[in-house]
Amino acid sequence: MNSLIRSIGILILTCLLQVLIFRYAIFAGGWVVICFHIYGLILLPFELSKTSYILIGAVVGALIDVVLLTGGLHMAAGVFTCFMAPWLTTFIAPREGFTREHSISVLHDGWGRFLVLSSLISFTYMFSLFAIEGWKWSLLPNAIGKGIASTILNVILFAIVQGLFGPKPKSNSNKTSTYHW
Amino acid sequence: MRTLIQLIIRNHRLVLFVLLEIIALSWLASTHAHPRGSLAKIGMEISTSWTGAVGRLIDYKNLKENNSSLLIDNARLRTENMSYRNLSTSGRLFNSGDSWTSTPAEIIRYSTSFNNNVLVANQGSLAGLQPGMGMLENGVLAGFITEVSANHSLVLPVIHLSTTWSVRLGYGGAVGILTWSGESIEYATLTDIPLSEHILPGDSVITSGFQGTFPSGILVGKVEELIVTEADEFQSVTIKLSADYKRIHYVEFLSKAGTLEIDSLLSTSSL
Repeated sequence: MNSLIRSIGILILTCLLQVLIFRYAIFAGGWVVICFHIYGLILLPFELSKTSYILIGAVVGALIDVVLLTGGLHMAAGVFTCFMAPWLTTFIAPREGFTREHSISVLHDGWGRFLVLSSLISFTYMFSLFAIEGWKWSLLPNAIGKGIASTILNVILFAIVQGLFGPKPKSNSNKTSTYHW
Repeated sequence: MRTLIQLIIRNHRLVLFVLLEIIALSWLASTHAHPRGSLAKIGMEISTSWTGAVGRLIDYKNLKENNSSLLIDNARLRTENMSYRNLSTSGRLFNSGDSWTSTPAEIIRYSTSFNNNVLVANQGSLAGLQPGMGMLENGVLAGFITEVSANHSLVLPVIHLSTTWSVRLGYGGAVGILTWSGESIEYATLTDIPLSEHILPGDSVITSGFQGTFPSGILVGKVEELIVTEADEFQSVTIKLSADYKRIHYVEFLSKAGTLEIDSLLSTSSL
């Protein structure tokens, strides 16, 4: 339960940061776009039901749409990503599976798993965003290119944030000196 | 019926996914291509309140640059004003006695990275703005109002896939349709130009005045490149747009006294 509350808190924080700051992070003529709220979606615990995932994706996307005036674009991408997320998670799951309250982190799962899941979810979101936005078969290669470019920058950003603010190992160093003076 | 309910319950995730996607895409279709309705207004108000606050801070930072830009604009407007007075008497630009009035505004929210870009200006119906009014950026065509709230206006720029513009090649050239291809925000495509029309790169493209949104003779851009296909009877022209959407900030909206009368005449006409 604690893990769920913490994850929802992070999701709200990432949405706020996206709306207030990262909305301006559009580079290379729209080819590279930062969607920081994806980080919040990635950190949602695996205990959530698939239905809750979809609903959270829809609500987050709709909120972003209302504020950024993108009229359903983020909602459509969010719903699609959260529909796919449980399936994408199976790619990085260990043989024994994840525990119910588990939420992905570098400390517990390692950089490899974190980066792969971040890339998969980011690409799914960014690709669907650009594909829906283009809404033409001819613009699909563009959407793939934009999706890959944006995913690279987003994953770098998520890795930096995870490195700086992610769970840290508890220090086991003995503070008592061998020498009593 | 029971089987149907059981089927829905069994596949409730898929049903929910499809339902939410339909809602999102309907929302997208109703607001993104041609933003209208209460949702667009609510979004606009929420978005502009934050962007307005950020914009005020950025304004302080860019004060010096803006001042010099305003000084240049003032000089240009004074010169234009003088030339318009002379031209309106000869009837070259304005073929009726009605004059165009302009309302200054600031762009406080814009997008240039999507295929259907929109701009939000900080003036609305209280300042006399109405849907259908044309927008100039630095004296050149930039867009038209599609929706107004009390204090804000939603503008569709040239760089929007669903807009078309009636333009002319120079003062005596052919009239064609200007559309945006969705690729670069600096270029648009002029179509329906007869092959007989002699066009050179650098030629001016101006408004025809037929849409009623702008007077004729407003600069739209310059000819960049000709696209001629053997099979076609018409040629297409790539136009470098004069409006700078990357730096768009101060704009003016144009209105004409007789526009409503013409619109009502057109709407009641059976032709």
